Amino acid sequence: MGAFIDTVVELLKESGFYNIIDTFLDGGWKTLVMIAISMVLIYLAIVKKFEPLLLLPIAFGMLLANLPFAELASTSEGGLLYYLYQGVKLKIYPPLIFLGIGVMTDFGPLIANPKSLLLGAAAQVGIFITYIGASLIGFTSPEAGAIAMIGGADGPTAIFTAQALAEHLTPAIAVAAYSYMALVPVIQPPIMRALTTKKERSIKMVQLRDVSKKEKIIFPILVTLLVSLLLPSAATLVGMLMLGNLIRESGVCDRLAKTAQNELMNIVTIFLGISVGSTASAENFLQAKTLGILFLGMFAFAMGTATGVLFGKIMCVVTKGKVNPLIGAAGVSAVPMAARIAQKIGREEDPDNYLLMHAMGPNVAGVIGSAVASGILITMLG
Amino acid sequence: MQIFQVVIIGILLVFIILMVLTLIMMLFPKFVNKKSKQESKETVTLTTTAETNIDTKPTTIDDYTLISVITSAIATYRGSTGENADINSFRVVAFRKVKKNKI
Repeated sequence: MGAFIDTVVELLKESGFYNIIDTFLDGGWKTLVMIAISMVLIYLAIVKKFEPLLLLPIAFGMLLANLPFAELASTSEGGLLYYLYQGVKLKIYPPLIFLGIGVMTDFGPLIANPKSLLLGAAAQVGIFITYIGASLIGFTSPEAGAIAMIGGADGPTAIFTAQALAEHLTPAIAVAAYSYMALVPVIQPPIMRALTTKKERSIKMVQLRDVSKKEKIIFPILVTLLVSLLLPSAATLVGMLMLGNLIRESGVCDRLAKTAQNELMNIVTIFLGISVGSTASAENFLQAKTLGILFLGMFAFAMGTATGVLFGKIMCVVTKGKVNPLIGAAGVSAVPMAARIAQKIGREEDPDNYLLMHAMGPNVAGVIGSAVASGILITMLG
Repeated sequence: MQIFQVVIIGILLVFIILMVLTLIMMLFPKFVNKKSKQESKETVTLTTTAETNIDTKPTTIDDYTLISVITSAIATYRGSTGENADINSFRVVAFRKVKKNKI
């Protein structure tokens, strides 16, 4: 009987419950806090629908990584998540996601109105303003660059940049980026209304011209050549984005297009999410820096929106009222949510004003712009 | 000082790269669509010629219905109907009036 009890006691001592209780004052409480945070994120993903496709795997990866003795953190060599994490560490998953995004994106509105690219560029100014803020409050230069990329409103780009510049901040940056992308409908409208007049919001834009198939095929090749030759560090993201788009527009690779935007994208999304979540160990995540990252991420997002709208106002003046400044807010990426917000705010002033297609131009330009900004930061700070 | 250097160079580079891209894309319609325009011009000419040859009597049948009927008839004649239907495998190049006295 005594041997039986000893065995049960030994088994209990090897349980996670015992570990949490035994080490509670010596850091065990952090495990409970991390489990609670992962539960909150799971709630936000399922109930509030905050970018659930990525936030749910991230939150669950976070939960798994913080289970005592399970050895599932990304740093636990030999565990499943350690191997999956190599796709993040070696910067494989984000470009593969970009491949899928490329297949799903229609660059037609951008080709029809190339000036939209400037709005995509203007929205990236928020990234650099945030870089100043992050540097001034004590983050190192590479850390500040990685945090600032949250302002690009592009999850894969933010993760890619974080891995290149400040690997230890990847989980906090990923959580902030995806949370704020889900909060685009809450963050952007007040800024857009505050920076524009009723008259500006009511501007109707002329219908976009038709774009030929030949233009759509040449576009991804041209962008890849130009951007990659000018800025080789942006070649990975831009190249994969444009490869995906070429697969789509060529019209001869239907099977590849279907796979890239469905099966491949979904598989990589699961791996990326769970791997990023598995890096969020208590020691890594429960730091004052994380709060700073969450605050700066929000700031970056707001600044990107503001600089996009302000540049939209400049274009409105230059074109003598032909550009509605609201579409500038879509330059922060977050495809297609940011474009939908521009449409929604425009229709609040005039129900007959359809800005969606006009906003899609800066929106997809924002994806290119954030990849370019990422390349610049990696080159300058890496 | 280094911070502001990164910011200024960064912003300038983003704008320069995207402005170059904008300029090239603005030239797109002039070069890329040049040939397409010529092709569409030829198509318009052909269509106009065809229209002048077609009997312009008022008809009660909707044009689209007529096109559907002709397409369907040709497809049936060629034996490509149902799941095998492939309306892109043929092209109607001319319509001619039937001389009534020969019927």
